[in-house]
Amino acid sequence: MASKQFDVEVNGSVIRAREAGSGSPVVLIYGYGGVPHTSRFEDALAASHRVITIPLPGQQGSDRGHDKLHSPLDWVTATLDAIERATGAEVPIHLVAQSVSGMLAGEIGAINPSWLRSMTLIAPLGLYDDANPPRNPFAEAPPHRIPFMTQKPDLFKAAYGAPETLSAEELREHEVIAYRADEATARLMWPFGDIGLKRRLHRIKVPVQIIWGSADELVPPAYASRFVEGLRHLVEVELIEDGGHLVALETPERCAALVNAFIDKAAASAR
Amino acid sequence: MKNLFFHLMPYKGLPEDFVEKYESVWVNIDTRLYNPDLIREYFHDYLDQLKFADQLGFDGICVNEHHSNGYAIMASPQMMASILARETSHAAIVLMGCSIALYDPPMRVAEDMATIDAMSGGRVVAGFPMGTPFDTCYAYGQNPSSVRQKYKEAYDIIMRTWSSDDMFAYNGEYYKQPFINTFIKPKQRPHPPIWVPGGGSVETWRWAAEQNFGYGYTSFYGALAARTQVAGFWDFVDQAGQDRNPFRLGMVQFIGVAKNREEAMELYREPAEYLYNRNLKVGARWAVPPGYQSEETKRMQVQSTMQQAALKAVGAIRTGKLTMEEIVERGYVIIGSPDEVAAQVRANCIDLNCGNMMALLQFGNMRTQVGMYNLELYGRYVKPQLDDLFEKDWEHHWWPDACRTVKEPPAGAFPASPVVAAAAPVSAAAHG
Repeated sequence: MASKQFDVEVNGSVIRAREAGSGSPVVLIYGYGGVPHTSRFEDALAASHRVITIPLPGQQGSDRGHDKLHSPLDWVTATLDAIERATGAEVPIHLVAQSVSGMLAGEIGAINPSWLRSMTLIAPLGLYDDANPPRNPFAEAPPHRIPFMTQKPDLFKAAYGAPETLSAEELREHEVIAYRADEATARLMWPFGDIGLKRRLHRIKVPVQIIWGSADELVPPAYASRFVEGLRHLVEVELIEDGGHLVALETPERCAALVNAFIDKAAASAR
Repeated sequence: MKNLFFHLMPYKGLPEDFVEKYESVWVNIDTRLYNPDLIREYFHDYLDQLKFADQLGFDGICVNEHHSNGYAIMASPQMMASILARETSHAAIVLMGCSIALYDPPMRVAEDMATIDAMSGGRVVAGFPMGTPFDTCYAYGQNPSSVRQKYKEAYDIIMRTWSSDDMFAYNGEYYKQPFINTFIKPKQRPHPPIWVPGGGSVETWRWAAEQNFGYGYTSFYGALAARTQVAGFWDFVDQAGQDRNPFRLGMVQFIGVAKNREEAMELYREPAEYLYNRNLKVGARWAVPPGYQSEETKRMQVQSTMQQAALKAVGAIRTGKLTMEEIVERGYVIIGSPDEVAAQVRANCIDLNCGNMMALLQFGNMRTQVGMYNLELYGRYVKPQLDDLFEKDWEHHWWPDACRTVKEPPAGAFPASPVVAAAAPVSAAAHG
């Protein structure tokens, strides 16, 4: 699907957002790996909604804005700024957040619930169980990280790998940009503990949808029930059989159909 | 030039099947391999060796910091240095160094080093590494993306702590301390010489060059591998408008001195092969947390075929297949008679423009007596052949004034070879 790209200034740095589709805004924030250059999930969402994709500072299309973020609160406010500017302050929004961005989405829902109409969290981080901790993907050498994200490395490569058309110099820069995206993730999450979201989940007042792959090796799907316990609100949990951490990459149309249906239902109930 | 004895304090008790059965000597080392009786023996033996180096006239003795590590058991360099401040009288006590970003508040590091400097009569060289990713990011859980920023703040606090006569407040992103007023100050005012140990990152070169610090290149892969890295450092020295004073640079080098090359091969084969095939079996997954290297360094690595080749070479080392012949051929360990070793070290230091040789003379599972022999031969017969290098043309600005006098080694006969000496290990009980 055709999309337009535009730059947004956040905290004195630039991130590159993209927009496709029409209708009320759905903001999509990716997690581990950053923003893929192609996404069937994003396309399928945009077939039904106006999807505005924003990278986290440091992810693909951003400069090194993450260098200026020193605390979780910095990350939350930078994300709020990005949402506000990318949507033209057209709130409330439907927020769809994956992986590490799920933690930020949870914080946004707790701190600024009036900005949200509904929220979908796809394999979110943010909680911590001593007996079953989330895995730090960066405790693996780079070639061995992908299997913890997905058992379908070809899909990962297609979404994040360098396009074959790149020159040698562009290929090298692509590697640096991917490294920067990983750094941004690490800066936000390291050492992969929690930042206290469990104490704030109850403040989220909107319908929440949780999607998890049953074979997620990064954040065990058992965490879905932890979110349910904390949210104390209308929560729908969708478990995708055999899905990995990047479940929306693996089963894009199915995940998008679930999200689209959830958003439509939440919008209808709000009316 | 300065000749220093650098001690890693290796753990000698790794089993023969370590390579096959264990993933890494660092970070996730199996602590069931830890033997407290051996450790007691090692610490006493190693401190005895550092004291012996001082008696032999080494210009400096180096201690360092590693965590969750089986090739270097010294978690706190300050702890060892404080003992050496009392046990030695001549050598510079070079902390190579303390990973200052790990400590909160870093004022504690300032106090520790000031105490050691005061106790030793101003013999401290303060080494401030950013720390390896193994130690800082994994063993100590620091964020790889922000650890360098944290390091800079810790450095600011320590330097202000040492140089300020007035209480001050610090409000950084990572450290906030409203009443900094250490009573203990270093004897060297305003502060001891600063060295920055590093392994080849661009930003550390720039930092050392721009701040006019000494730079200690701490790779274990010899002068040949160091050439590219050291050239990068000198480029930044040029860019910073500094002179190419060789005393800015130090490098570590494993060295085995013996009566002749044959004896050296016999004495140092097992320790060297243990070192490269067991001690340095490091899990590659702990080496590259994203953000620990700057984009600039990453870009340099991606672009540089030499860097790629060097990384592959290190990968080969970790397969656990190196023989002594390969180790020597690659220059990872310099061996030979005193004259041969002196000639090789001299040539390397001239080639790299390096004024501080940090000799690793106790390595791998080397018997303590062999280490003592190595130390004695280096101190008596190698060092005197190197003392003059660079001294006529350059002044060492990164050295404690209290340690500038060259000390002659005590008189004595050529020591007996430990090849034929009884190989009775020094028992833990001998240390009381």
